[in-house]
Amino acid sequence: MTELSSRNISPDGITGMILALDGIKNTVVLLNGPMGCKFYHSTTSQFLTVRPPMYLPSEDGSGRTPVNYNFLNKWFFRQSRVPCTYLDGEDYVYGTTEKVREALLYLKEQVAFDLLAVVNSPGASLIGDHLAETAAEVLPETKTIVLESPGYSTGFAFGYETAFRNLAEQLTLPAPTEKRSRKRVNLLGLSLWQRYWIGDIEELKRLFELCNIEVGCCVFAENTVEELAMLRDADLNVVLYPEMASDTARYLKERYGVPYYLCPVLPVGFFAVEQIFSEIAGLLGEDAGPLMEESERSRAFAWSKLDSFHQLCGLPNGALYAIEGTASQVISYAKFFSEYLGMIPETLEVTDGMDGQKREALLKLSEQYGIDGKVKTEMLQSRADLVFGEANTIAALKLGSHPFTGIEISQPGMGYIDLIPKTQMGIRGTLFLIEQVLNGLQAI
Amino acid sequence: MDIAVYGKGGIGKSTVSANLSAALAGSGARVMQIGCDPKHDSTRLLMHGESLPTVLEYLRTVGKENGELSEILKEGSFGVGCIEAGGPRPGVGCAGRGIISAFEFLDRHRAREGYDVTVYDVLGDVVCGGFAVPVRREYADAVFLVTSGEFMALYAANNILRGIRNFDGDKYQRVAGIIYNERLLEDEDGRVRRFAEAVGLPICAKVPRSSSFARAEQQNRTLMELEDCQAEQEIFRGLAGQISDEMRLYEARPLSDEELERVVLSKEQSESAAGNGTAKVFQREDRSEQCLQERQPERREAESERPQAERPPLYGCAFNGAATAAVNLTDALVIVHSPRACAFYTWQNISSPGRKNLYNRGILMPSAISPHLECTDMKQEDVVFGGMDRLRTAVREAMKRGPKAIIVISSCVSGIIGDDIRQLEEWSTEELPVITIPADGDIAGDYMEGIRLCLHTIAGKLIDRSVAPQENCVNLIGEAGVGNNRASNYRIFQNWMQKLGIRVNCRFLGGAKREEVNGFLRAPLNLLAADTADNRELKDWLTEQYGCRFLEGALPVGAAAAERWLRKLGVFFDCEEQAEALISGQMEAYQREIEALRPQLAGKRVFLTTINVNLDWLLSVLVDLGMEVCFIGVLNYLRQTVKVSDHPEKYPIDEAFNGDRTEELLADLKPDIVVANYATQKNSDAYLVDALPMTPAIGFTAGIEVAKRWAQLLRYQRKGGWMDDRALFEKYFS
Repeated sequence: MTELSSRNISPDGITGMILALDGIKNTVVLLNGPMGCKFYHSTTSQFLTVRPPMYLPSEDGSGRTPVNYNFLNKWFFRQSRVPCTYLDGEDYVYGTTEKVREALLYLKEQVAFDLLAVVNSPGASLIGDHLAETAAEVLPETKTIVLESPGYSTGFAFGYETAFRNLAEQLTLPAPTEKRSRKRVNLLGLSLWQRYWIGDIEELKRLFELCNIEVGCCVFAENTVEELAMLRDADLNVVLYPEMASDTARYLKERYGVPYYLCPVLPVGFFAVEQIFSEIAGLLGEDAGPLMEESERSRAFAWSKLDSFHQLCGLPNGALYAIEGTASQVISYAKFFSEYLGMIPETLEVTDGMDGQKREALLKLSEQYGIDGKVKTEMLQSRADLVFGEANTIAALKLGSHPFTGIEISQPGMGYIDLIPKTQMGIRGTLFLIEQVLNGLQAI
Repeated sequence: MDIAVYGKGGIGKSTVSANLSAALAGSGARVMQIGCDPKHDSTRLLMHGESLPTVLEYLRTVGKENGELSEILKEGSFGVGCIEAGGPRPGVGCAGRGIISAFEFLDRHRAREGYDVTVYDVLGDVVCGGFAVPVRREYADAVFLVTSGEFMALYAANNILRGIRNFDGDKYQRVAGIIYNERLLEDEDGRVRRFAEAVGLPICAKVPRSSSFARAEQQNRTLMELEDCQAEQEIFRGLAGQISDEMRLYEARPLSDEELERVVLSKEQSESAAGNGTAKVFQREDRSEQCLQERQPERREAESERPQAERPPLYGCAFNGAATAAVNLTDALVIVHSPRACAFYTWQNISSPGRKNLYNRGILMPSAISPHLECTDMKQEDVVFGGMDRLRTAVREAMKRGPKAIIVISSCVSGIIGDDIRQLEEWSTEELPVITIPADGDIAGDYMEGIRLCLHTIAGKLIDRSVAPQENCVNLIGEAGVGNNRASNYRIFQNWMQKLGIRVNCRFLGGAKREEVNGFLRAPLNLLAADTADNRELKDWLTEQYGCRFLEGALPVGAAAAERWLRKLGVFFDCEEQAEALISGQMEAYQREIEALRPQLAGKRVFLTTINVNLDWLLSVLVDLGMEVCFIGVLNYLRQTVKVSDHPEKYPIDEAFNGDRTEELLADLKPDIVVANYATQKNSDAYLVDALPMTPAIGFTAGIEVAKRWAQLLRYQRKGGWMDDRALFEKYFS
């Protein structure tokens, strides 16, 4: 690393807003902004999801697609997600209302969707166009979320939570009419932006099933509008990432009486999984026994691999690790690595702000497990054996001479295309994480 | 009920608002007054001279997401809740955005709850989106226009009506009327009356010129608190008495500028309309229906005033293009003056090929993996108050880290609020130049325009015109941009140069140090990296500005082009022997491949659709193989001059293709191979479907590699079984 090396730049509020809302099935997120703000979101959303084309080819008889070359028109610009109003300099002077109206009319006529969201780019937000009114005028019968202020340098979580809160406030959730036979939870805080979001959901659903609890709505992770409408019909909202959904969970409790559970850490590592699921099962009067049994079996299996490895080289105990991520991630992964795998934190860097409680938890971790009670906080200075973070940081560190193994826990990834869903959450995710750690340490 | 009081700056709207609030409160209503003027003195009289902390100053201190309402909401006389939105210093930031931010804070804290009436006192000189926020229907139920008889005051009042009209069209009536604040001008009553008549509004109150106002000002009191001014107090009580949920409201019907001038300045017309021109306060019932009938057809201002010329969409933004190019000055530090969002997209755009090359090929691309790019992280307070201080701090800090140059690029946000990044160039020294690129997001243009702007600016600032040419070295021009094979192409190129004994002087700007750009003119010959419209423009510019000489053609893709190009290079540098040796080895291998492939591919018909890129690297192979190009459709969405071949006359090219006729053409032309990027073709056993690499490798073999794949696929299996499963996808995922 040279003196000029820069930290990679994390996403802003607008990305949190767009990728949150675009996580709802059959939703169109119209970006009122220049095309420069569109491409990243369109590409990312397409890459991270498997979705039907919103436009079917004309030969299917739907009559919705005027050309064979999908999305050639001016709103989509050859990308199936996140159309935009392609603002330019004149629009900042004369206003964007007409372009928004034109785009909304086009979407209304050409695209079938359940929910429409309009999000201003930072530049568009400066000029004060009343988009909510335009949307209401063009689409009076359609559920529409309008976010006029995306924030400036506020971070992904802020945008996500703002979108969620807005959505929650605009929904009128009917009271459940039918009595359910099983307890149900909603999962809050998930998004397409998480590195293994599909695998995370599969594993979490599987574990809840082991506790005889069904999962209702996984908000912003391919949930449908119908599932959103049933948010109220749950016994508990489980908030996986408090920085993204705790405010809305509180709101849902106040307005609809749905209680919530804030995960103390992410369900990463056996101890965290056991604690979180036994607490939730306890709250709902269910039995976490089958899950505890599977966790024990998995720990036994992991032990055999860890023990063999340990006999060869003494690792993973004492291996130095570095983590870069949100406060939730850093604390959760660090606890698992230090408390279960016996590894030593060398660098812990939080990318997206943290509250006092998280700061205290991180300090405690440092004091408890860091060398001489300290850890570094500058990822680009890391000399750890294992680096957990996003691919930009891992790649940047590869420019240095220090050998290490990089393991992705956040977006963006290196570009690997996942077909088999993977996860670092839950029991299977913990095994996958141990697998990555052991393979990463083999050459030491 | 929420009342907005609009008027030109200095017209007395704050005095009117404060006295109206006091009168309303005196009648028993719980009233809040919100000052929406950057000079933040709306509530001074109600607060008896005490200056309130403004919402915006407060948010600047505590941050947008924090803060308590009680810190900015104070109680004034008659229990009126007083708030000042505030604004930036004159000449910086964005006052309109300031109003938006202040209202967001007040909404979040439910500031209006607990009050019966909210009075917004709003500056009406500039009716941009920000200052029009109080007019939105979720805020103002009724709007009063404060005006005198001065032309500019009436002009401002008319402009406010235009703003309201844009919100409401002809569907809503929200204008309560005019509050006439007298200035004792000649024919003043007549002017105001004529204006009121013409726009179809009542004059709700006339506030006469009176020393009582001056007395109240001196005492920092509202009139309602003074003795001996019963008459004036009655005016405001009367006005307050009109405000109720049942008050009659009117549609906004603004005049055109010509109408306004004619109506206000024409005394003759006034006399004919008003009889003797005597001052008269018009009551609501005075509204003339006839006047309304004579009005011009309705129209929305935004629609009518907007330039009608269709502007082509801008692909990407100049900010992103400029930053992507600038990071290739490898010992410079690039500072983007923007919110984090813009820098994030740029970082991902730059780093994506770096990550993929590292992961898939083990290739390290330093400027793509770890660009020297930093962001000022503009925040809400910078947007409102101006971001130059933050930028100066960032540049000052950057200077300490020893870069060889600092490049500052502006985003649309910093551009719109008027931050003048060029001021930073004053900090330039010979050792450390500070180069500014006012891209202003996409205001300067699209992505390619950003690259152009960056390259021109850096060349202008850094190329030393006194440097003399040296022998046997070249510059490589126009690598900037994002390409997955930039590194591998450069390796091929470097290998050729080594064999020819030629040194690479400067990669402008595919990875160069400042010193190399300083010595740009050392190279007697320049080589274009790719044959694109933008590179051709760059070539012309460098030729014109610096007298640069270019080898004809770009880094060659395909055998024929490579042969020609290397031979010309050999002639220029007098190393023809080495060039011929290089060519002959490659061409022999090429011919062997052609001979091997011809039996299978000769006579096959190829249908091509492409974006506007040169395809000669492939077309020449097809010709050598005896294949037939039956159609080339160009998707020219950048609307550039089409150039897909140096010999367009040889091929059937549709330059205006948009994909519509594909099915029809395929049925008619019956191709054996269909090449179409970014489009799923209908399943067919009749032809092979393929796509081309967007940026093919330079050298002799790119076209051969494609042909070899076709030959294999045609011999064994036209397509993989997966290509039949589109129906399954639609079954399970639609």
